[in-house]
Amino acid sequence: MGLTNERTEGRSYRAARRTRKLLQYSLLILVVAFYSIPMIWLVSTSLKEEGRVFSKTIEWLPRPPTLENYGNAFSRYPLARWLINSAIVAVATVSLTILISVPAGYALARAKFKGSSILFGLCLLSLMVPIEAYLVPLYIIFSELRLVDKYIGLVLPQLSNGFAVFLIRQFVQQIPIELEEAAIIDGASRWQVLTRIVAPNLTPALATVTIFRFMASWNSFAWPLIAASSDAVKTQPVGLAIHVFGVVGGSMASPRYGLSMAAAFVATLPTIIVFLVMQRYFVEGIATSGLK
Amino acid sequence: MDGQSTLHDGCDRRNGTSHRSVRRRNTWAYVMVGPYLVSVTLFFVVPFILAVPVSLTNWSIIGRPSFVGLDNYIRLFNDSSVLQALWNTVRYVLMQVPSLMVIGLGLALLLNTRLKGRTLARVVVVMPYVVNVVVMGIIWRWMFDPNFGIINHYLRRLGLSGSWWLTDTSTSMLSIVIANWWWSAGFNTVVYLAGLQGIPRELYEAAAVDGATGWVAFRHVTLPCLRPVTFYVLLMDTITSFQLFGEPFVMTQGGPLGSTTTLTYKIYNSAFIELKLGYASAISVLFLAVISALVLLQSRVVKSGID
Repeated sequence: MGLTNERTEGRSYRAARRTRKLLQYSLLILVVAFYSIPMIWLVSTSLKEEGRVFSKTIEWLPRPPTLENYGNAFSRYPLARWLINSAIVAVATVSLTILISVPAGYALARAKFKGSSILFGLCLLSLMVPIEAYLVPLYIIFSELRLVDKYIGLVLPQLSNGFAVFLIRQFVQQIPIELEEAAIIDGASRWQVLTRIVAPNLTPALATVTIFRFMASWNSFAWPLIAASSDAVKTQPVGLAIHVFGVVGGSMASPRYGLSMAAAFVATLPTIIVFLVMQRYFVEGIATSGLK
Repeated sequence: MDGQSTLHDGCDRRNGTSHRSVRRRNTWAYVMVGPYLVSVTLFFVVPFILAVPVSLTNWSIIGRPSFVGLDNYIRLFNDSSVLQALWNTVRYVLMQVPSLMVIGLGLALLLNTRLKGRTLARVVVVMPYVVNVVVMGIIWRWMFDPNFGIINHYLRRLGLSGSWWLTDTSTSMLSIVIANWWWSAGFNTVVYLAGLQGIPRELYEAAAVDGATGWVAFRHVTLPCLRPVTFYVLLMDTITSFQLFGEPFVMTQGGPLGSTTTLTYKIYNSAFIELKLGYASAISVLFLAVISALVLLQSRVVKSGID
């Protein structure tokens, strides 16, 4: 009696477990489908002949696939120029950010000085207040200083972002201080301590900073939209939106989706590569900045 | 120092040097923070503050500005399009933030269980985060296309009638919310995953001894442990949602009938299409006030959480 009871209990327990697993796997499949379909659809559309894009049937594998849209994206628009501009601005932003933020983050981690907590507060505030909130006064300052429509004008506002300072400060605080103190007693200057002892240990933090600031710069839209109007400095999100997708002046006419998706894919490829290569730092970056 | 009392002399000198070295210690710190201090001041603090005086003028891109007092503010509170934009922004935040948090937590819980393929699933969920707002906007505009989009196509296959999505005032904002479930849930998922992994296993073991498993353990162990993470996600999502700009710019141009015109979109339009920089600054001040209040509220909540 007792035995059969146990057995049925065991069986129902196993059955419940199986149902739960089944449910979890179905959910997982749904999740993967929802999060991958838009990108698959983007690539699929980009490989279609323009005439076959607007079709009543859904064709996941284009027949025949064509690279025509990719060719047209580069030949009809200065897409290459926009991509180069985005790269220049992003590389300059990341390099200057690191150059400025490493000493600042180090100083905030190791010294208490007048105004240090205010500066740290500002650094956090700059992370939270979106540029959209002060777009207008920023534009007034930059146009008065004749910095609009120049690379430098696209780089400078990004240097106020405190992400790098914050991350480096947190990182330095976890490094034992003894080695630095010993070096200072031996007569090393603070710069020598920073460049020879601390900096070599900062690699993971710098990797995270590089990914996040590169992506933020590569993808930034609102500020370049108003501060880069000529093709010579226009970055890819602005070029795509205004010229390729044609979303300006309240026009709701359907864009040429084949061409649009091809250009969109080209513009996204660098971030996808950076993401896949440096994925670990990416996830760590979100997690550490999220949890402090 | 006449050299008579060497002991005291030594003491004094030591004190003297340590005082000087304290000051010198401060000096290096000031030099090191200098460049960042300058950038954050010039490109963040100054524009932040400048919004107020500019909002008291009729500044326009062409011509000399003159002082108009509180005119812009009086106009702002009687401007139905600004009030509509404010309402749209609040409506969007109220739809987006809770749904995005629930999805983020749900995905984190799912991807934290031992399932084959969860590593791949994590990559797939986070991946949309690398796409820029313009690209994300055009992908979803294409998918939401009422006639040729895949969403309506499959809805019709299921025997449903489909929807006008972005082109209908009643569903336009909801469509942007759905698109963001794809675009931004990865961030919340990663933060929640880190939070879940930070919960000590012993807590679950202790709870299990007391007979608490499954939902009860989730309710009394998981959720309380995730409180700080939840506050952080709530703040970040609220602020990001408040600044909604790129999506309406690319997907709807603020329409149809202004149903997706948000505060930031209104600021952009007033300043750079209508060239009313003074008026746009007044809207910015309103916007900055809301954001600052949120940040202050959050920092107080966090502080009370630490205490």
